[in-house]
Amino acid sequence: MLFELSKENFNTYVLDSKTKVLIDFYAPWCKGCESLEVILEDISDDFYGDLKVYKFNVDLDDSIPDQFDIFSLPTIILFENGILKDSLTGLQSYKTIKEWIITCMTSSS
Amino acid sequence: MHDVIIIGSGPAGISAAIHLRKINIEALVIGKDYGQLTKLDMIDNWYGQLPISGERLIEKGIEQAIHLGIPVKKETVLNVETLDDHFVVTTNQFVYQSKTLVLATGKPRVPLNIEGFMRLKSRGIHLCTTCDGLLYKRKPVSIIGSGSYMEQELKVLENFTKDITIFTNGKNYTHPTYKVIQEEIVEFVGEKRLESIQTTQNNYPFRGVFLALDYPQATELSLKLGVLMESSNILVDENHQTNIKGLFAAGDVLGGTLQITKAVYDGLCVSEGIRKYLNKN
Repeated sequence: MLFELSKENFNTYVLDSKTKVLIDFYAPWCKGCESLEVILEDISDDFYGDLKVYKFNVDLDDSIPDQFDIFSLPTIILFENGILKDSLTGLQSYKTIKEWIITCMTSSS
Repeated sequence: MHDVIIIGSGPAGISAAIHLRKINIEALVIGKDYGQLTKLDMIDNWYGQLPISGERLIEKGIEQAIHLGIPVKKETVLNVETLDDHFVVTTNQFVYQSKTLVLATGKPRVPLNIEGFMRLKSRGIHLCTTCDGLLYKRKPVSIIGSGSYMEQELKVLENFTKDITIFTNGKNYTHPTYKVIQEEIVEFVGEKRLESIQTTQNNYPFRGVFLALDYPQATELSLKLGVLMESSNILVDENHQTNIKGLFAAGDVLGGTLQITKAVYDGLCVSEGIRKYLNKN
């Protein structure tokens, strides 16, 4: 289970964070989001210590999704030091997500 | 409740049904038409067969299935859902339920040819109302289509907003509740996201549009179910099972070699995968 963020704690865990954070914007009935969460749980384990993975339910709040131009579900966004690095839309395979994260991390260091 | 429903009556779907029949598992096959093969006037590389038209070969496959007692329905699948541990398949005529489902729908070779489509896909242009409808809660949105698939998607969209405009893209269609624009669409306009829809006569500002043209293809059905894909090809394991338990796929939807021989082999693999799955569950 990924830790669920809310509008109230988004700044603390993401924008004010000094680490790399991956946010999964999802909705409860979106089947693609359900499939993605299983993959992100593995990602969270594999990047333990380097990356924190959280989820955000867009059905509970639309101000945060609007702020980050969430056009489609699921969308994942990678933040570093509170700054948006890159985003990836749609249900993607473990391999695609892992390569994308590594590319994002490499380009930042 | 059926043990197996196969969507697609081409070589992959029929082959799966035949091989399942041989191991005493009954499958219901649902196919709307004869697919890509009908475009081939002559096939001369199919084992044991003198040159034959694609359409005739497909007909022979369906005749063979029916001869073996396999039910083959000519219906259009409009929606698929998972419910608890089984699948619900809605066609233009009936609703069916099954323990396992096979996607063998084939793959259209030509993507939608409207300017701006590829650039703005997932950036205001959407293929699945259950996936993205929420993003337009109480906001104006449009939907493109004019048939029963569009009406099915419209029902889902109505859960989020009542401010809906229907574009028929040149087709004749009326709706009792919503505004219908019958003009042909020439371009999806926008830089980073969809801003408007340009028809032959007017420009309509819309930040969201859902495509529901003709009937749902493998990509749309996969999106509804949360099936993993890569470059529009469905990913399967060694049993031809997708990431969704009980959901299998065969034929062109998997990508690779788009040949009858490979599709028929996929059908065999699926039958074996389903046998193992049903034994376990």
